[in-house]
Amino acid sequence: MTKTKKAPIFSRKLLAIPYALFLGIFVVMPLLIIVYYAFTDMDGAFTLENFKIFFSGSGGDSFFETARFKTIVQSFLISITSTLVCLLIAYPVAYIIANCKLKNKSGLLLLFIVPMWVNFVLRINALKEVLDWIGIYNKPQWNLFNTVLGMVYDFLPFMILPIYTTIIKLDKSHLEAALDLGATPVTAFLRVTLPLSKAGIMSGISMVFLPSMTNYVVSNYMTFNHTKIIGSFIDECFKNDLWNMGSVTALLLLTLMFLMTWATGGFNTESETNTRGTSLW
Amino acid sequence: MKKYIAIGLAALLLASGATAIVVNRDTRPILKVANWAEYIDGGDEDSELIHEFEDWYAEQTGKEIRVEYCIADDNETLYNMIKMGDHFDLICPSEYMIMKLLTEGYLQKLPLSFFDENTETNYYAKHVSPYISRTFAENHIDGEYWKDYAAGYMWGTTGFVYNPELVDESDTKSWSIFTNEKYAQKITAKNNIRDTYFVGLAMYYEDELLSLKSQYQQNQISLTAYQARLSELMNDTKEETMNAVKQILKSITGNLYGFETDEGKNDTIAGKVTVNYQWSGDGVYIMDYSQGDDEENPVANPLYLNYAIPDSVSNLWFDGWCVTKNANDIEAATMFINFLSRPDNVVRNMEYIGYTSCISGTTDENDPYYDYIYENYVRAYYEAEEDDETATAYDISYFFGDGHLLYTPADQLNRQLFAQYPTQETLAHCVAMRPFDRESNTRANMMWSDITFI
Repeated sequence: MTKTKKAPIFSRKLLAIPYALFLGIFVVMPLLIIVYYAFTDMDGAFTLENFKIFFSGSGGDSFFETARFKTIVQSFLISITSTLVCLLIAYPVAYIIANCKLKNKSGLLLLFIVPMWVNFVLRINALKEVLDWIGIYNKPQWNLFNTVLGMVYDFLPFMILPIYTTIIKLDKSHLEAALDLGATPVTAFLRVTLPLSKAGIMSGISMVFLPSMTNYVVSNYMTFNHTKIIGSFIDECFKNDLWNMGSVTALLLLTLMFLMTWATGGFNTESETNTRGTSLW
Repeated sequence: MKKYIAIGLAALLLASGATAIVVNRDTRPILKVANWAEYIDGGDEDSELIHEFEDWYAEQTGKEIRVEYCIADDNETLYNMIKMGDHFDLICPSEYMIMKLLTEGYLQKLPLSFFDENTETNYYAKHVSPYISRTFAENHIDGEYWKDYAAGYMWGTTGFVYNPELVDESDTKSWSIFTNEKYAQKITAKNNIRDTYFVGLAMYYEDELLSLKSQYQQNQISLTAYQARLSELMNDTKEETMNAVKQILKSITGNLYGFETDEGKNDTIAGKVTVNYQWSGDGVYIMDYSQGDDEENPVANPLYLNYAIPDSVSNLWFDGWCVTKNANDIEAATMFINFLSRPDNVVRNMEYIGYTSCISGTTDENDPYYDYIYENYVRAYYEAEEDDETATAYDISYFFGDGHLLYTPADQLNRQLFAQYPTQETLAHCVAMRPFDRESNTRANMMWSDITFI
């Protein structure tokens, strides 16, 4: 044994093992299981029948008339609206907290985070009672509004937090430079602060968009089971011994999400370097 | 390096040793039981009755046992748990799930010794209601009879819990109440495919069902033939029938307050729902609660509610104890059933749960529990006061054995007593639903998503 260069006891490779294991068991394996069930029938034989059933009509309706198609469209609408509303509320909130002169910013932030400590089913139930008291609960014309309201209510903190952390870390000198060089505060905000906080916005969007498409507990509670989103369809499939159909739906949803993330550039690492402020324009 | 590994290993060993000690502290063999939530006296895991069983088992056999009591949300969840390989000794599914599990080979026959009425502790065999044992002996799937695999626990019907001040009693006698605009946004259906498909079928076949009934009442067909035909119609899953039912169900959704599972109870008590399609046991709970005479559970606006079963047909359901194929201890499992079937425990369970037990108590006068349930439960709750002028004779001999004619306040004929023990005449037009086969299950669920989407 030579004592010249002592290798660290825990090398990077060694430290990566638990994470790799975790990813393998809890991310990759379930995905593979979903793929397996999507492409097999109830006896475990390979088949594409599940996709065929999913995309075919039923009871005289074409696929575009079935609830499956409408549910997907409706889920997207709810999800996009909820994400946008969350963003419109969260950005100013995060911006104001991050830039306020108060010493105790974290205290202010806490006000927005504290609701997360209460179980979300309880919060949704409370919100339901409030809507009932106002008189818009379980009224057909209000169902979509109530669903979006529930989603926003639930997921707002997930949008505020990442935006806040990006804005608070921003290098103020960029902003000062812009102002010194004659930019109006609005231009400076639009061309400096906003692009620099893009990473936070993107991460906020990804934390709100998918859950609000599948969190059927919210839609079930807020609309007395009236408004269906794709999550409830998947749940009903698994509940009623239709694992293959449930897997097909989950897989299609996953593919759709993947394509959307890819199309909006969610996979490139440029935004990450942006937050570090290395390449600005 | 080696030193660190050694320390690490030692720590690991220590940790695993420690867990082993924790796990093994209780060395009693385990009886793993699965049941629904709030379906045993005293609530769930910490139910006093379960501990009493453990003591009673030790007393009877000289052996120790520990009951591991699990809660399943519903039949479908229980089925998925079993399919995924969760081990249970004793489960309590509903009749259609018993049939599904049976045909898929997850259950084993109850031992013959379980049915021996001469054994002192065979409380189930001695005390089960003649009505239940007849039903369990008549119903079968793939040539296997229910009675060989299941011991009845609770049973009931489905019907409407309604507010007689706001709803005509005659309306509740027909399934077309679901399309009656008088009750728009005031009536609920069940948020699961099976119960709601039953509603659709009943509406689809209502005329035929009523003419069948009159044929039976005029003695043109026998009870057996009548019920066989009912069962055939109410288990029709042909594609064209399903499509027709789908259109019917689509037409009722606009009239509904909503599809519900448990939420409907509160909304009915609060008066937001005036017609609640409900399982009889929950119906009893709602009627009890909304009366508001329980000091511990006061309600803001006490309501006087009734329970009705439609004239043409209704759903008859049972929950039964079944021993699984890979059960470890069949003796302990059957003793658990017997302990819960001992009449004093039956009364405790019924008082807590509000559902009706399949146990009626023996009519053998020499038995220490002679007519125990009738005396201590039915008469205690439903017998009319001596000076009650409305007192009406109500015959429940079919359930308790000959000579059980109860004098009860007249309003009980539409209330808790009727929900708990419907008349024999009503039960003639109640049928059990069978499990969907694979193909119709897919079709039914695709249909379900189309119905519930608005």
